[in-house]
Amino acid sequence: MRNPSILLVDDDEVYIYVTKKILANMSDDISVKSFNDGEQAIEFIQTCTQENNPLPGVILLDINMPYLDGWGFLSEFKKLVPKLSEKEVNIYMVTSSNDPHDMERAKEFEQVTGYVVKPVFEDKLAEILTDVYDENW
Amino acid sequence: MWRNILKTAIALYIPLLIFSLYWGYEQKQSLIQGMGIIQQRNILNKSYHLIDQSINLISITSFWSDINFPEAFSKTNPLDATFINNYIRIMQGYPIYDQLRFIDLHGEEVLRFERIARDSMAPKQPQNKIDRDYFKRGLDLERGQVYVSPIELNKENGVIEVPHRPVLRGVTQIFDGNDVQVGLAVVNFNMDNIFSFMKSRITEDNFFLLDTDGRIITSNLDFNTLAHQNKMTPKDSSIQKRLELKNLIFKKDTFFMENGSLWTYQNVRTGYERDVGMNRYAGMAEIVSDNDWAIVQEIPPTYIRSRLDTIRKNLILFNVLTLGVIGLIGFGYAHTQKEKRNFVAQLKRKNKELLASKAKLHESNKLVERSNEQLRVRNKQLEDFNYVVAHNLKAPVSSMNIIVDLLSKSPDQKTFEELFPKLETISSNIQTLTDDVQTYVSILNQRELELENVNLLLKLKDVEKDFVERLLDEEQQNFTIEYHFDEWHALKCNRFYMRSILHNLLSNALKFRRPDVKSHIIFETAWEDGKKVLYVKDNGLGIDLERHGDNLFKLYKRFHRDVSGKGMGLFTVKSQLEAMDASITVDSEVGVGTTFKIKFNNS
Repeated sequence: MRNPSILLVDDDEVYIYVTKKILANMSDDISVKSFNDGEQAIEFIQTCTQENNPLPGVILLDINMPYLDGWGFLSEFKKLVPKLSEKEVNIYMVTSSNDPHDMERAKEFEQVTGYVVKPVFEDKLAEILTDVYDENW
Repeated sequence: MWRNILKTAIALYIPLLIFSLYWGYEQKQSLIQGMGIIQQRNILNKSYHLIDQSINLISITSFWSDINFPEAFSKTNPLDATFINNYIRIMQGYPIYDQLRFIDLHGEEVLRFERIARDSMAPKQPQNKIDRDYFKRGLDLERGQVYVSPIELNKENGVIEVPHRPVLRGVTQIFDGNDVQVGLAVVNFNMDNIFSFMKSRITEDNFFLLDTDGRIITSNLDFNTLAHQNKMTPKDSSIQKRLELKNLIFKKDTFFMENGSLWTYQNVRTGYERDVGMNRYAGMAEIVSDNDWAIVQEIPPTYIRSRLDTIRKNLILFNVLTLGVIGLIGFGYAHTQKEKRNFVAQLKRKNKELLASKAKLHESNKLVERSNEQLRVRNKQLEDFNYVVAHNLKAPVSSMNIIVDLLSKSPDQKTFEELFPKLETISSNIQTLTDDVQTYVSILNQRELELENVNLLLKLKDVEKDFVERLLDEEQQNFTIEYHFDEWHALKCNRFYMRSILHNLLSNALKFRRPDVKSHIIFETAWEDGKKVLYVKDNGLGIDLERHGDNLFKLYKRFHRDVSGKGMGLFTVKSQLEAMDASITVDSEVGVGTTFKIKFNNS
């Protein structure tokens, strides 16, 4: 069983800082990586597949971002799916919007595992990690 | 219109009028022709009668030349009474015998019988006729010849007998048993009977018997026979004058109209029976005569008029009926036309009303459409606002929640020091956000936007000043701004919004130019569906519409990492345009350029 790894994609730097802090408090074993927009994140994923680096098991994806937003990231990610060595990438949409439109749209992507409305507290993060890694984190 | 109908009616009527007049003329001619022919027959009969009678007289006269008279009778040696009495008895039965005289070669009447009553003749005192023309002509006769005198009024002892008695004298030589001429037999024939037959009328015709010189021998207009031989009364003169006709100059058998009368002329030719080869008068005595009679008959204007009356009446009746029918047709036509015009006028009016209602409906529809469109835009704006609230406004709040939560869980100094600056960041973010949202909301809530005529070129020149430093910068030298405002150059809009829009678009073109090419931006006006359209084209970096198309006009969206900006420009442009009832669309290709199309719906 691989180590839990989480990728945070969000342009809200406060959110990134706080989430990282919470995750650090929860466990030392969780590797956390972050990007401020979808474009950087997808470039990272591409690099990982090219260099056969391990992919993060969990991606917490914001919707509203500059350059490439959450939806844009999902479209690009979809194209990469056949090339992925590890299938187990769980994408959670994390957004401050509880707009039902966004929720509906998220369901259209089979790659999306869950939909989380901010603020994301510790228990929510724990729930996600448990879902993905059972108790092994 | 009435004038047209009148014209048509006249056009219809004139040919009919001409036809009817022609027809009337033909009828008249044919009537006159018919009358003329009848008249001609009538006077031919009269002429035959006259000739017949004359021949009869000649035969009677001729009879005496075949009688063997006793020798040498004279005044002193009268004829034997028994010789003559037998003849006298026969003569008495012929009323035509007016006088019978035997005149010796010296002009002395040897015997003279005169008719004293209808069936009785009596001897009278002989007279001397040596000076009379007929005596002289008689002496010149040869045996078998008969001299026929002109018709004259009878004279006794050189005086015209009263009452006038028109006579014709037959003169022939008489001989004794040895064929020695003993004198002349002169028979006076009373022409009254013959004349009275000839004077008979078949219509109202006037009859004239003329002599060689065209003088009237007798006429049925007057009792006065042979007026010219006596003293002519004014009436006789006027009757004679009537016959001075142009058409009579040639004395040919004919009929003609002159002075309103129908005239028929017939020469009485005594030799006609020979001409026609009749043997009725064969073996007749040779006639010596100066007579050259002619018969003229006149149908007076009154009678002709009375006969033409029927034709005239028919003509009038025909014309009246024709006019009536044409009038009725004209009236009917006019009536129909009027109704038609009324109908057309009514149709036109209704059509107009319909068109007016249609226009009204169309206008209302347009208004409804317009309102619908505005509502649609408004709805979209609300959605956008909702999006902004959901995504942009909630984000810092949720971050703050987390921080507050963390602080409450571990309220130690270290954590506080760590997290406090983050709260400051959030606070400043919220400040920026609320400012931007306020701008946005102010655009959304602008209900009565002040619209005025804005000259696009002037406005653009004004906007250019905002970038004067960047445009003058050496690096920016190869950036050109072009204007194509041929189609239109001014429009009704809010000048502040318009300035902001142009500013943002020009700013974007400057920001996102390709450094490796000579850059430009083109502002071009056009018309589409009757609406004003402004194209803003650049040859800059371009945007991947497949990736970013949805977000292009959204708040805080940025598409070029290495170009500064907070993602507010196009969002504001779109909001301001929608507030002015305009729409913006984009067409772009990465590495080629971007074209914005602004459509002003209220233009």
